[in-house]
Amino acid sequence: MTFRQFAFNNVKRNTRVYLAYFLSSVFTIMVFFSFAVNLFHPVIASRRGGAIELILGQTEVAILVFSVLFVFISVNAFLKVRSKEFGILLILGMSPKQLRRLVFLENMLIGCVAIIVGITIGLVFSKLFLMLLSSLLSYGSLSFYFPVKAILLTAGVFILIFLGISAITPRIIRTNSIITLLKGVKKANREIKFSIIQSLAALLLLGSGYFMALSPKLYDLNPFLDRVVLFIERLPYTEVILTTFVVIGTYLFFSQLSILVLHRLKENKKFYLKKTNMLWVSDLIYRIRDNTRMLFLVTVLSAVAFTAITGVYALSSVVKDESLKDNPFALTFTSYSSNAHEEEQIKIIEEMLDSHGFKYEKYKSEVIKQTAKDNQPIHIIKQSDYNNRAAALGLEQEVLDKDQALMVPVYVRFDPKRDKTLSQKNIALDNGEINLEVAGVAPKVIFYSGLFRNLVVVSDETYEKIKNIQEKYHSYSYDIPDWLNTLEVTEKLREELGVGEPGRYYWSTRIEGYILENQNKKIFLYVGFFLGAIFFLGAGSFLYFRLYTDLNQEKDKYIGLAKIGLSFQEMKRVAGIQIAVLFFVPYILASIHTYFAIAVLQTVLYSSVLKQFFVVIGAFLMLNIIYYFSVRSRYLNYLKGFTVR
Amino acid sequence: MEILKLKHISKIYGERVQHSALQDINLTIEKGEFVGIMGPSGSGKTTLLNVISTIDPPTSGEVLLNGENPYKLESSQLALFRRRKLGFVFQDFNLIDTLTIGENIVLPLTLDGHQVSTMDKKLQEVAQRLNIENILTKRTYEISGGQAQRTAIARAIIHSPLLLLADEPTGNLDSKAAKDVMVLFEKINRETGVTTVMVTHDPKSASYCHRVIFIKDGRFYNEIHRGDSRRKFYQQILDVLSLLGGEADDLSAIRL
Repeated sequence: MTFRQFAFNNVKRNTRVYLAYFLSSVFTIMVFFSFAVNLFHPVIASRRGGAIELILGQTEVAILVFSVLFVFISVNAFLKVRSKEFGILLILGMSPKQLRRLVFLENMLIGCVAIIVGITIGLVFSKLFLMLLSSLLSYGSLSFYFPVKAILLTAGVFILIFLGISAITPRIIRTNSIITLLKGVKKANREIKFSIIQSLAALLLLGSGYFMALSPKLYDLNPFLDRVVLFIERLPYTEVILTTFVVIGTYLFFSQLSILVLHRLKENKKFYLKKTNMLWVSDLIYRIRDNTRMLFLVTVLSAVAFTAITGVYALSSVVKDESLKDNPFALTFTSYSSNAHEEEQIKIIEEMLDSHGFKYEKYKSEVIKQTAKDNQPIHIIKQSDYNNRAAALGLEQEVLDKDQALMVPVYVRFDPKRDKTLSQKNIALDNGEINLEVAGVAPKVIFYSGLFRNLVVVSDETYEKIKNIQEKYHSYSYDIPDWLNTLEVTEKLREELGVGEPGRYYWSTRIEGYILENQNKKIFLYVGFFLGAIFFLGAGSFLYFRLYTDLNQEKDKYIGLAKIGLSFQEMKRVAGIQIAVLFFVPYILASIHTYFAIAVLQTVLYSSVLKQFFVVIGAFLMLNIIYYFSVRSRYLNYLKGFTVR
Repeated sequence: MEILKLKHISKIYGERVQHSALQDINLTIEKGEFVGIMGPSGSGKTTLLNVISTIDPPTSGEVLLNGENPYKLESSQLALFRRRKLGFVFQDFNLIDTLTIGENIVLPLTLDGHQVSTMDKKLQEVAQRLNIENILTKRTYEISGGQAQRTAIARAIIHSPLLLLADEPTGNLDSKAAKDVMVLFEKINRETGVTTVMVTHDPKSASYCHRVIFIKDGRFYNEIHRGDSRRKFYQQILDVLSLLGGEADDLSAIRL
């Protein structure tokens, strides 16, 4: 047996320890490779610099960062499990250099096999991924090609990762302390301390992080609260502060607060001394303390995964709602007074719609533009035109006095109390000759998002009196019930009318915005799903490695307990509760984090995403439950083999 | 020739609360000797063996192995020293689970980069001597405790070390297997002349030694030499142990 054979045998005969690590590496490599296949596809590569290439490229980088972290942590877990073995080898006279070489060889062996297997599986699935991507992008079909570049990139990158990590991690083994290595990590007899102050800090940090996330919703409930909310709003980098708070809070939650809670349970004698409670509570204190960093990492990774997936899912499922709100009408044509062809163009549009058999309602409005004293443009529409549109949009009819005005929002998201223009009490027109009192704010955009900033509705009587007219627009909006099928018509109209002429006319349709958004969001969904999946899988693997690491120590404990009469049923309960805590506490905390992260996301979306949140969380709960039961049964089977003798 | 010389060895553990595990131990072991170290629980016998094993540096004093102080070597040289000059046998065997019995035995040669043919030759020799030729291709979980310990002994002597160190080698074995292992130790010592130092709890095992050193509370207590009769030596050991103040329970506890 030569040294190299020794390293080889070590891996080959230790598959159980290495299997989870190996499979997870294969999966990571496969995902990385599949993205590379998409990225280097001739069709996508030919549109260099496009948004799709950018998104896919950035995802590739994110997967890369995760892969490095993942391989690093996994290798560390293995080295810990094997400390006794290393102790034996060192006492037999293995030099620290040889030990590093052994670990290096083992890692490279696993790494190379994982790269080959990962790329092979990736090749098998690449056709599928390409089909998925091409249907999402409506690119016709992205044909299969032999992805030489992707293979080279994947192999190159992962060889570097494995090389780097194999070179660095063995240095972590404390080769100078053979006695510690031989004895392993048996330090369960130390006292576990916790700090009440830090436990409170955990609550405080999590609480204030959550509060900051919710703060935009808490405005206008109570004057004191309002001041706090405004203060938070003025803080620079609110998101960064919020995230930092929650991350530190999460760490303290596991390092302090959870221990404090278990200590309280311990003090409750009625509970603590009942049946097997004593066993799992006292043991859990050590487990959580030993696994603080891992639990923290799993929680953060899961929260990122949940948020990414809920985010992309929500974005893609609300896209229709958003388009409807952005463009209340299916088509809006706006003409300047200098446009000589206005009537021809309207005719073209209507003939085109008629010839394709679309039914529609037309709403014509006149809008006057003038400049206020502060150089801000003001747009004015008369009450009858407004009411005309309001009827089409299902809004209330307005009746204004001659000295009253109604403000109309220009963007879908607005806050009447905090928006500078919408919260004005008075409006001066014609350089102060007409002074109006603001009677209210319209509930919705009435043209489309972004058109006619500072829009004011005045009574028809007042409208006629306006003298200062810088521009008079005619705006035609078409309500087309069958708008989802208007893409073809729109494309034909674009051929005739183009996008518009500056200073003469321009026009906008709902369907174009919808298609564009839809495509972007589908790509986000595709990307987010993969990222979320590998993050979650990674988090699960960390837990599994950790349980495996502890298994030897646990085995001795359970053998001892079995001897004094602990039944297998009771053992199942004790181990089951402990594994459940390790699996579900990070999940629950991550779900709560996600809820608040989604609350932040909510502020940039118009529609509620609560439903999507519950769907995603529920799906992950199912996954987690499956994961839990399979890990628990493997774990118990292993223990059973040792205890029922 | 002196193989091992300990001069004024002391070992203190702990930082704030200091606990002295060994105090001023002096010991000389000649080539070919078979020496036992005995003492009650917590007397410091395993600490002493660890100090000799080059894995636990003494707080003060000097260890000379074959005239050389191993603690003055740098780590890679120390590894070479352990690999070529020392052999270890442990209470819980400490075999590598991923290797076969044969591979476990040749491991010290593998680490030293020997020729495969040399390894095979030496493996056959040592396996024959220990009567384990027929289990060489088995894995660690397929053999009995006695076989495991014989494997460990084979691994400890395959490279013909200067000094064989054993920490409670019979501690995990039943009395039949323990007897077999001790007979083997005696035989190897007689046939190959390897100097052997063994820590043990068990007076029966100790009675195979040439000389037994007793320590108590980290200090040297007594030393007795074996005459012609092993039975008489056994009785002497029991007498010293009872003088040592170890209770009778303490002695038999090993056979649980």
